[in-house]
Amino acid sequence: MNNNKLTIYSMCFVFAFSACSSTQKTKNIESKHHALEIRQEINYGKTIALRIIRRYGVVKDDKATYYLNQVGKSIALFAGRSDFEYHFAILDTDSINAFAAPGGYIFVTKGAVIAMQNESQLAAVLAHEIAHVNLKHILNELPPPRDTEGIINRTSAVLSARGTLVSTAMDKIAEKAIQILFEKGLKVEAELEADQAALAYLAETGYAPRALPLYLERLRKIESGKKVEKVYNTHPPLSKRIAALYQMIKDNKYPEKRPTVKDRFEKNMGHLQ
Amino acid sequence: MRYKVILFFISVFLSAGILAQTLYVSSAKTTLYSEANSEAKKVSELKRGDQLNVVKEQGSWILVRNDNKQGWVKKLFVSTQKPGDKVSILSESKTNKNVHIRKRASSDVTAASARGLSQDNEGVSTRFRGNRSMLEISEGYAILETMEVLTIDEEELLDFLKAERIQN
Repeated sequence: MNNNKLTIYSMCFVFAFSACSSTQKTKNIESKHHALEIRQEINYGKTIALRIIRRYGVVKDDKATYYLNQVGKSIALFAGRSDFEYHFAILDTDSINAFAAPGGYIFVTKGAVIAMQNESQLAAVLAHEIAHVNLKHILNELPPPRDTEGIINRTSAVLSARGTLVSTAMDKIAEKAIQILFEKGLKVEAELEADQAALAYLAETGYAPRALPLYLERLRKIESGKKVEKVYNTHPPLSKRIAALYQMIKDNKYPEKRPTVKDRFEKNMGHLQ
Repeated sequence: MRYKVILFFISVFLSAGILAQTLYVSSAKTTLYSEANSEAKKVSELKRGDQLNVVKEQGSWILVRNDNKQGWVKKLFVSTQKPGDKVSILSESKTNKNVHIRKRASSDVTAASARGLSQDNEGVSTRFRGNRSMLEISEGYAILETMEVLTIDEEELLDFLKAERIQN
């Protein structure tokens, strides 16, 4: 082997080795950055979840709450995001709604549970909220913190010293999220995107995707029959969502016949009536 | 010979570049289809963490290669990040309190008791709020912590689904 050949081979080797090495380094950095982003997302979620809890309180019913978590965590298992734990609770209010905060904090109201007929409808509502988390609908509406670790440290301080809010930055962020959740609502496109994803999650988990439009049809009846406050008032009109959902089910050829699971739902949630 | 060696190194370099287009299955399991629709023939079952090389995208579907098999997966069920441990910011004391229960899906009540949760058959028992003003911050944190420590094993969740034939 002459010197020229040796030089060419050496250059090729170094080139290829450095490419592999830098790719691995990039992946490691991406991984660390990803973990930091998740921590930030969970911290946002904690602060927002606290506001939701303080506003409504939760139904302290271990049986119903455990069952709610069994259904919710089952969907989360198949919903394509496994980087944090999801948490579910029933809010103590008769109004019909559900909320999702970043980082996997999901709430469904007692009124919404009472309006449901079976487990597949509960799964449908939770799938829609999980989709909001996974697609970062609320998170993307919030300002990114300039000092991520600083925010995390401050929040940790808040969490360890109960009863004292010390992070005004997080407080403002939570305030904006609460406005979206309780007043403005998300964009119509985000709601429809969450509906689309919810159908896929339901199908993947094994529930009937049509449970979601069926539940919304039920809400429409409640809305027109009782003249109560408009249900799901932070969401697009029910008729628009129902029509879009049936079209999505048709377009994706989702299966129609799946278990609805009425008895188990009644056993665990029936006493909330 | 010289060209073959150069070609080898170039291919190594290119494969390093392709790694940037690697995806991972992020749901517990999902299906690889022969075409970009859920009615298409199933090529294989994929499980969380399976590595996929992207060929092309089409709407909400991605054409990928996995173990010499090529097929379509839904974008919703893959991620650029390799699934690892769940990120948690629970304090040490809370982490130690985490409860992992394994049980059969038919024994909900027993498991709830085993977790230290008292069974309350009176339905909605203690309510924190009713029509009163907002909860105190400390009460809110206590509820938040209660939510966070409730974890359920993957095995139990699968049993829960199988018990009603939601999953096979």
